Amino acid sequence: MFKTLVIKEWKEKALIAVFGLGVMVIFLAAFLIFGDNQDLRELIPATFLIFFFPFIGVMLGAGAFEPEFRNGSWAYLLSRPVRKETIWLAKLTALLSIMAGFWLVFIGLMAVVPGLGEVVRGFRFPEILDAGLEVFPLILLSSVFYFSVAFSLSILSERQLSLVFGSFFIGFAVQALLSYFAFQAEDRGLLSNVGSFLWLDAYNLALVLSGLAFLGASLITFRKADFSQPRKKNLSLAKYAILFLVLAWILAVAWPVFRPGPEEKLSSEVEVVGSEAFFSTTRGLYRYDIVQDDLKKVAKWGPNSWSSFVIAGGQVLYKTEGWNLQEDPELRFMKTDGSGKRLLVGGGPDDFPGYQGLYSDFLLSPDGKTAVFLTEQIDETGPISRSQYKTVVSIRTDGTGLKKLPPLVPVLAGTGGKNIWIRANAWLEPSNSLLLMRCPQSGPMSLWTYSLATGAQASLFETPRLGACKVSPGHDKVFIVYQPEVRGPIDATLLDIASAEYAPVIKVENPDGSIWFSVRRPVWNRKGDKVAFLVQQDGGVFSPAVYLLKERRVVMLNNVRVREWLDSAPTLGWTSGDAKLVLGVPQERMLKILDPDLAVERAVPVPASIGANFAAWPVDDAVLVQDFDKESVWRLDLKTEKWKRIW
Amino acid sequence: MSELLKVEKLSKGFGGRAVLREVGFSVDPGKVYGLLGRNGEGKTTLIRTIMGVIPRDAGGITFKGRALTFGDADYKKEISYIPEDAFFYGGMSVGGLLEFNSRFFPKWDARKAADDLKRSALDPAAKVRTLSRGQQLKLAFVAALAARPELLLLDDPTSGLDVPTRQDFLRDVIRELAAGGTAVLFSTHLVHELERIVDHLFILHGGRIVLDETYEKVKSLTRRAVLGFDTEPPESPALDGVLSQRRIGKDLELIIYPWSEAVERTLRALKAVRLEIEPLSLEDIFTSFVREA
Repeated sequence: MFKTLVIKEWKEKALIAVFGLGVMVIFLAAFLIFGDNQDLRELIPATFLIFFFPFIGVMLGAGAFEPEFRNGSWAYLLSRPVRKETIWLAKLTALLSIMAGFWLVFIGLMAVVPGLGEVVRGFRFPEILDAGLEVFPLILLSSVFYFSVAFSLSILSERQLSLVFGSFFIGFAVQALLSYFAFQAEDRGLLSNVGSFLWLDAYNLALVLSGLAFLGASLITFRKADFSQPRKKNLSLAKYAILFLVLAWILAVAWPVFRPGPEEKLSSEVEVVGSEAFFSTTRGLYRYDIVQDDLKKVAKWGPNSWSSFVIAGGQVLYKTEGWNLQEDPELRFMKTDGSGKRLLVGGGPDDFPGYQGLYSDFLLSPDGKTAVFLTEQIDETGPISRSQYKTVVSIRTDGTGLKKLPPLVPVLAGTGGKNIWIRANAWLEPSNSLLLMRCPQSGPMSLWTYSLATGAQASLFETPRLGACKVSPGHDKVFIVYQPEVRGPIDATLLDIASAEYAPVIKVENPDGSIWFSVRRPVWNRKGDKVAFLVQQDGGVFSPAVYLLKERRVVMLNNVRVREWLDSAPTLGWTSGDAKLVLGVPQERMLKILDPDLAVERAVPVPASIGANFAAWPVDDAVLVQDFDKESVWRLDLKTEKWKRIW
Repeated sequence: MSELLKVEKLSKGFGGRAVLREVGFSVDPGKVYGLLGRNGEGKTTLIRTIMGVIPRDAGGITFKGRALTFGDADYKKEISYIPEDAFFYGGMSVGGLLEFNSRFFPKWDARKAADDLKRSALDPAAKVRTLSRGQQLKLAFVAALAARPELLLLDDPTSGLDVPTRQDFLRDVIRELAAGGTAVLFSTHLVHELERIVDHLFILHGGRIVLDETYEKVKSLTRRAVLGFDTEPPESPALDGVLSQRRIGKDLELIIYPWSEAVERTLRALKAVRLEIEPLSLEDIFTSFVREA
């Protein structure tokens, strides 16, 4: 019966199909004739797309129940032994299939008519998504929506002209409303927790659901309403359409909230503090207790937030910021076990009105009681420049004592809107000062100290290019990797902050003028008398090395040569009470344990279930391995050499 | 249970106006039922409600013992329905329409359809919209009969037929159907035509069934009595069953149902100088039942 009804509909709509094909033929002829004219070559398909598909959708939809209204045939059809749902569905199927037929014909034309496909695929919203968003699928979606509106309204009347205009009017009004709200939602950052540009998804979802709402209202009205009472029938359609539209829009609004976000991914390297390891993902911050073998998510955030954190004195300070940069970043404090969370900055206009703006780096005092962050110069009159963080603000981690400290001096922070990135590198405890790294867009880079007591600022070190700067556990020395001359050799030096004395560590030649630093990943031992690092000796081959502070010499292991892959660099870390080193070698899929003399004591193969891009972080007698390919974290017990996936 | 269709306390209104009020009746197989009522009394509404074309406000309908809901469709496979105005898809051909119908009715008799089509002188290739009203009705009959229904619902369809066709239809088709076990519920305003074929009468008046009786009984128990008096006739004789009364000079005309010997004795006791008692035509009976007081 369904088939019989579908065929009946096809036969009845044959005229519209012929009309549509005729218009397509005219379009094709026009495109072929005027295809040489660059303007017309685009104008003709654009006009055709914009008008033809929505119009044919409305034509088909508006005529859905027209034959039944003619001469009262609705009573004839409804008295047939066939369920009303079947009649309704057969009509919908038949008409949608005719629409789909037009799409297929057009897609076929795009494939076979020279230049047409290229022109149509070229219609894009350039600013949406990097590659631009194609207009054609959106037009098809819109045409289905207009069809569904017209299809629903067609059970009200046989007056085709009224139905066509009514459908266009209602369809356009709904579409305009949805576009407006989608843009508003995007502008206000309401969709930021599900990702950027999702207003488009939300809009499309709302449009699809709105179309379904109209269809749902039509089905229920067709099923339940009394066709002999037009007013009742009209009211029924209006009632259900409004109800379902409201539900559809609630669903569309709720979708960003309930939609499963993007897959959780690692977003930071492991930070080892004592026997605990911390790492962040795109959803939150995890703490892993090596002794207890206990992993706990100590903080949560939206799937599309940038996040960063620092740990000191048993406290964690972390910042979250939405991808779309529309929301204020939030700076929070908590204990390392996740308790005592407190919002320090951001989260609403009433918290700290003066510091709603953007801020960059932040640090936690070694005792964990004070936080310091750099923020932009608040200027009510001028535009805010993200690159200028001139103001230093401190606040106690109990939320009190918000204090604006003396601003960065112009020679440090820059003047005239120059793009200078100031990084807060470390909190130097003995001198109660900050170590700041000045990274201008062009010109030399430098290290500065900023006295928290007086606001005094002094340049410590200036060089064309700065690499890693690692402060010793005692906060008194800095291991600095730098390049004295552009494309020249890479130097490493040890700076004693108090005396401002330098102790050269190593100079690595850079014969091919690589822009990469050939001294990498310096890592202090806990005692602060050794720094391990990786040295690029020639080409892409790295060797582990250790600088002994007392002896002022470098021990390098020349027989362990690690070729760095593009995305899987080797990693190095201290273990066994700082006596040994763990070298992670992704290329060989090995963890190599180096003895105090840097000899390879043993090599532990990495399980096949770990991807090629991993990093190894020793924690006591265990090693945490972060697998950035398969987004997992593993634990290796160095004593038993047993592996366990912990995240 | 022999009843094919049973309607119980069925009510339906339009915009606050009650058209059917707790209507109830039943239909047995093999009988021809006449459904009579004035224009606007709800005959079409009643039939459309039975066919599930429009929803009812209250009440129940059972077909072959099964209670029907508004959305049910299966039972319609055993019912043919011909409305007053044949509402077909005008774009279909005669043959196409029959083919379309054949898909819905499992007992479809294609040979009968072809024979009836031939007898009706309808061109299978002709478009339905080119047919006259009478031809469209013929087509409706062809389709309805080919479905081999157990119940045929006719909503005053014969007015569009020419006299010979109507005679043929009434005399042959309906009786033949009934003889074959099909129940026919025939709503018509051409009341006199029912006289030849009807077994049972329903009269719908004021939204209610005011008469539900076999035709023979109605016919035999309805009488017109004309009493002639020398003086003014009495205002209102104390009689049961007076459907209508009329004064014509010194005569009093009464239509009485049900007629009985007791009624006759009462009339004679009124000492009229003249008493004429005669049976009524169905048309007169119907008129008496639906005449406003």
